[in-house]
Amino acid sequence: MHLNRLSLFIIIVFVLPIFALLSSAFFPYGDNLYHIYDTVLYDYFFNSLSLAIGVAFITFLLGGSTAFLTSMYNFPLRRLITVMLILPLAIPPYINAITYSGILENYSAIDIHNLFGSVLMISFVVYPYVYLLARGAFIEQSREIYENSQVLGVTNAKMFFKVSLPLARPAIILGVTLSAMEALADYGTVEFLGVATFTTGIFRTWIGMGDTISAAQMATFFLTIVFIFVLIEQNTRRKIKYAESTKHRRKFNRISVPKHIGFIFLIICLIPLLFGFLIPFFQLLFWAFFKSDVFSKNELWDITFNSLSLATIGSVIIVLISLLFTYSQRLNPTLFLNRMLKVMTMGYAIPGPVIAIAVLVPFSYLDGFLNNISNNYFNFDIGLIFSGTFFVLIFAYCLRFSTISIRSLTDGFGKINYSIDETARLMGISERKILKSLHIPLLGTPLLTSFLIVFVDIMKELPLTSVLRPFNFNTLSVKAFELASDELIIDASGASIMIVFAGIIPIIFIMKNIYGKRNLL
Amino acid sequence: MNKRLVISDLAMAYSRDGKGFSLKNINFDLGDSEIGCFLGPSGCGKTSLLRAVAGLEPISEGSILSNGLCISTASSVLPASKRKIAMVFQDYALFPNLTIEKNIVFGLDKLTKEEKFNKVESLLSLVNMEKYRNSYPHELSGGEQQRVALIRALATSPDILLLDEPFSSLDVEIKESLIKDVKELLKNFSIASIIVTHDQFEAFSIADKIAVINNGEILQTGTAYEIYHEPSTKFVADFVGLGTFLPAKLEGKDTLNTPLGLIKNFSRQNFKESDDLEILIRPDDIIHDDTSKMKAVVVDKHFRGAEFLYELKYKQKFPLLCYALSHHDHKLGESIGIEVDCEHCVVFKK
Repeated sequence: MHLNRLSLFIIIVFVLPIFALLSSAFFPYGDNLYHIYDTVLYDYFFNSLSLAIGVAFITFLLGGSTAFLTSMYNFPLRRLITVMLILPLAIPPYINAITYSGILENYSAIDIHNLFGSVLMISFVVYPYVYLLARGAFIEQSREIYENSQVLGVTNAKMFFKVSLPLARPAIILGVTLSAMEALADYGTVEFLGVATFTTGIFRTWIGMGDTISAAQMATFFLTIVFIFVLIEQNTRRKIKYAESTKHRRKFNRISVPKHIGFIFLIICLIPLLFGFLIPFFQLLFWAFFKSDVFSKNELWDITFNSLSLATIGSVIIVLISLLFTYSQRLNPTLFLNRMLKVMTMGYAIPGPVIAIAVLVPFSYLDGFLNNISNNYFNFDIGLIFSGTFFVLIFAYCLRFSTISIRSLTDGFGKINYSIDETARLMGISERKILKSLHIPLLGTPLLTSFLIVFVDIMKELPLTSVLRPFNFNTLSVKAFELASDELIIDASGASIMIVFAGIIPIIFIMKNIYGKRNLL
Repeated sequence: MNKRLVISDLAMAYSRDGKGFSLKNINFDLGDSEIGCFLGPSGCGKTSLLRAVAGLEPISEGSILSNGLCISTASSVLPASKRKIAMVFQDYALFPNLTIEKNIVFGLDKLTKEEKFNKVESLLSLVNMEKYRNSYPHELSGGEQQRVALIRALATSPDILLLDEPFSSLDVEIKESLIKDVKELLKNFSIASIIVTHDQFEAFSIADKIAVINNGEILQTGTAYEIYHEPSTKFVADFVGLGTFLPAKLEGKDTLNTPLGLIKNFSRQNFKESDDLEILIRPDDIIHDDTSKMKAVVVDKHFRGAEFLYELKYKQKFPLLCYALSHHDHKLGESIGIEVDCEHCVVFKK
């Protein structure tokens, strides 16, 4: 009971800024809103939407084709390629853009500083969402479907278009929607490549013009667009839940193809891997080790330490509050807490600049309010407590990144039968011992996975960190972006490669989990 | 007499508003070292009743007493952790992250290390599983897991042991021997226990006292013999054991007129001559005899190894069941000789 109240209180504190932001729609329009409406709003709208749709399309091609080929056919190096195809997730889109912009500096024929360039830069590193989900769906069905097709004498092509693809459709739509949402929320890539979207526009209006109201109203409008994607996503997620079979999976004998066709399949699968990981990764390595002296400077190590500590503290806090929420929901499930959790888990869809403005405005107001009181009554200046401190930064991280840990812990708790709790209770065991000796050990994998994913998300995060960080506190992502924006791309390679290294760790862990347990290779 | 468990006038509500009842008018008691059984089809409410006894579900009317102490009423519920009632769940609920030894001592915090060790030793030896002390649950077979769940429940020396469908996920081959072992174990511990099952043969082979439940009500409580041979309602007659119903009429005071002939010395007095009655004919009431003049046609047959179960039609419309030794292999459509030996005459109003 107490736990429930505590959880509710914390969640409401987290969710309030979002509702406060949405309420800005009812304020009188900001000073510059008419001007923005007349000049750039259409561009923001067009670019953001085109970016999302473009990324959806390209990730569908890259992720869908590689997933299908690696799950259905045998070709040279298939196992290795299957594992490596998710590595691009380690590279944040803006780092990808920075690297390619450096590579292409001397080739004026290819210009990526435009909408299409942004689409490619994002697509090449987020397609693994589609790849992983589609692959899961293809593998899930493959054996029965293809054995049936052989028995019935149906051609493989017909089977693919009539059965396999429709069955995998929810999973593919989910992956594509997630990629599109990633594109909508992107700030670093489009800012660096000079494409005006909602995310960059909100910052420009808010920080450039100092017009908070207009920025908040733009953010609210933008959120309604994002929300459409959220609806699609949650709807397909539900469908996938029903489609998942719980049957024991037997090993599937992949279809063998002639050598030259296998070679073509290999090339198709190598394309996204090459452009999404191998080229940027080795280029960054090359710059960092041979073209610059970043590793010999103390600055890089200081910043790396900053990033690591921030990500550690942030992810521990996020995993702990997620555990609190999901545990109290298990002990005493209530509809209201469940609803609030749903709102909280929408955080991942809300773009960084929107969260930044939602969080910073009320906390600066609160700071001002506290200072007024202390000045008026105690004649004492307490300074800024919330804004410009780690508090507001971590608060914003919680809002943006707790989705993954809440979801995976909810799933994890779902896999522990209630009979386990009840058996322990009948033995007279206290709730605390049940949590400590049974739940937490049994939640090992989801706890570790969510910690790692959140950790890397924080390491990579750019817009929230650059706006909300305490003065003079630099992180790898902020530093890499600053240097690259000053056209010092080779100097940025040190910080960039550090972020990529950090990103590879959880990916290896997740790979082991996904491929190791379920006979998926 | 001292009763270990007394359930009186219990009712349980579906929903919190208390309007729909999942169980009502439940009365049941259990003496020391008695094995009780809730038998019924799935969804009849038997598991809810078990969970109410365990204190995992609230009740809306009546009371549950354990050793004379009231543990559940509509207004107050003694928490599950304070009841000294243990339960073995259908999925056994072994703690997957703990070894068998740690599973068993999980609820024994008050014992010293040495006492714990000895306790585990003696419990494991009871079920011949000493060598599994340091194994993990997933390394054991279903039957072994079940035995561990059982001794883990017994380790806390509970007053009452509850078992929810304990044999349902086991293979048929090991089920029978395991039921025997479990019964022996429970009797050795002289513990009062309740088993929930939908399988009458499990109920017959283990329980001293069976309550047949349907639609949230106990229809009959009695021994296996009573329930099989003297079912109190048509549902019980139908649910427990095989059999067919034939129309019957009362003639005079103690004679029953059935398609199979007159049955004399019928002792039930509460029917009138005008009543339309039905008589239950069990397969063991019909004896196959090739020399008999009374004939019935074979409609279907089921090979059961040592014997056949024949589905017969008598006089072209009355269905009958009959066991015959399996060397009596008759064809479908063949007329075979039968005789009637109706010892327990079970009759219901239509």
